[in-house]
Amino acid sequence: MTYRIIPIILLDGIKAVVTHQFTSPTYVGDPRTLAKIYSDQGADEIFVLQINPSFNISDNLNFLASISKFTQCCVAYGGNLSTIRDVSSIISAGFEKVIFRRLFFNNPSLVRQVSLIYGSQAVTICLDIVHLLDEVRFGVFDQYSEKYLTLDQIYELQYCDYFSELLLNSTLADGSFNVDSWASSFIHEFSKPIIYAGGISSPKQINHLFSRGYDAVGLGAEFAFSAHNTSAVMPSLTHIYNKI
Amino acid sequence: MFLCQHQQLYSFKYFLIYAKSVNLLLDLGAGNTDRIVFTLSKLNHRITSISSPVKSHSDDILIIPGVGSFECLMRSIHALDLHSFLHDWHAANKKMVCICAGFQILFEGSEESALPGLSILPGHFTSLKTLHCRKTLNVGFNSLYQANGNSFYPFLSEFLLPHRFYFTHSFANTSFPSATNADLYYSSTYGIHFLSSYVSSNIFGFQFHPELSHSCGLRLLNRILS
Repeated sequence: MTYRIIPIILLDGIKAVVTHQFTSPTYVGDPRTLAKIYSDQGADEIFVLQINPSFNISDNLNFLASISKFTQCCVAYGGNLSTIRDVSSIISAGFEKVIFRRLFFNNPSLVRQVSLIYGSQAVTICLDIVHLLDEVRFGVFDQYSEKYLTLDQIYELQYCDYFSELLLNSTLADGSFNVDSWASSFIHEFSKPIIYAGGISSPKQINHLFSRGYDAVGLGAEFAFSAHNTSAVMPSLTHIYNKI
Repeated sequence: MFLCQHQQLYSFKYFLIYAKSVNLLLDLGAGNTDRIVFTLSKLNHRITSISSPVKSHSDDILIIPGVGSFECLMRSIHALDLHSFLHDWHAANKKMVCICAGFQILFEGSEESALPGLSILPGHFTSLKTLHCRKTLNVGFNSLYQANGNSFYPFLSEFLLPHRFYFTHSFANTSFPSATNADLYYSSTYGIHFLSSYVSSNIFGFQFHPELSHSCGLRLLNRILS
């Protein structure tokens, strides 16, 4: 079993940002520099997620290519992908995987088409984990759409051949330095790798998530900027690998 | 061309450089071609993308990149009239570096595709789901073990065996055909033993992605292309 630690770079346009529950983006640096640092520190993969809905992929291909260009690991991109041309441009720009969120619900045929061209290993689906009163829901929750799946429906997703990995992204935990306490038995039984992201800030939390059945973890703001050191990107990935 | 003596010297020098082997990158419409170009340019290797049969030198090296479905790559090969070109390339014993899906299409077929592969090598790829692996995607860094055979390139084992390389694939070949003296098979484990690399006198086939495997992957590519 190979566990993966995946730094996540959140983009607001062409700036790398950190957020709290995906709001209040704070500029933290140049995403190209961050990607290179993560790659040099031995990241298993890097996820680049665009949070600005007005970002135009075709107008910024050179910028996106420059993020992957200086890395020597697998880089995945998610955000504002709406056509097969967008996906082709992203793969051509040096990314190996694409991450779909809203499009998985709105245009599943496009997700299928991407899988048929690039292989299902190139497709990751991202679902938000949202807490509504005492209920945990999975799906897409933002100002544009609100669609969710029941636990049974999520369990059924493992039989879908059009994607290979599931990224569960906790909105509640984002930027909080605490992981989502939610747990479910389906994680152990799910036949596709599951990645958890949101609020991870220590090797202990990472080990805990792996013991709960997650195959990989996504580290965002807390990875680059600890609560005690917000001054610069710290060489923490090597430290984290040594502790896992 | 009317060149002065000084220019002729320069031309001759450049002719010598250009007369060296050329790395040809097969662009089949899918595949992370730009990543390969970036990577090889970092290593100071010249590379030319091709998507149709071309005349080539006997020392040229053909690179078939990964990231693509088996069927999509085979469709492109037929549509671009590359089937005979690839067989002729192999028959002429010219070097090929084949990565992930680019490696899989060298074989007879895959559960992923209704179209057969190039059948340069014997064997089929089966989905990890059919093979009852715990997860249907093998992704992450993994080690290699020498399965059988003797390498035409003794240096390879010292590059491959001590290091971990990045895999991301949903289909695997679990058959290990009997090796000839010049063939070398490497395996990796993911609940099953699967073929992770095949090396013969002219084929360097990798199920993993050397271009995504940090410095050890770059060293491996550099050594093969040098």
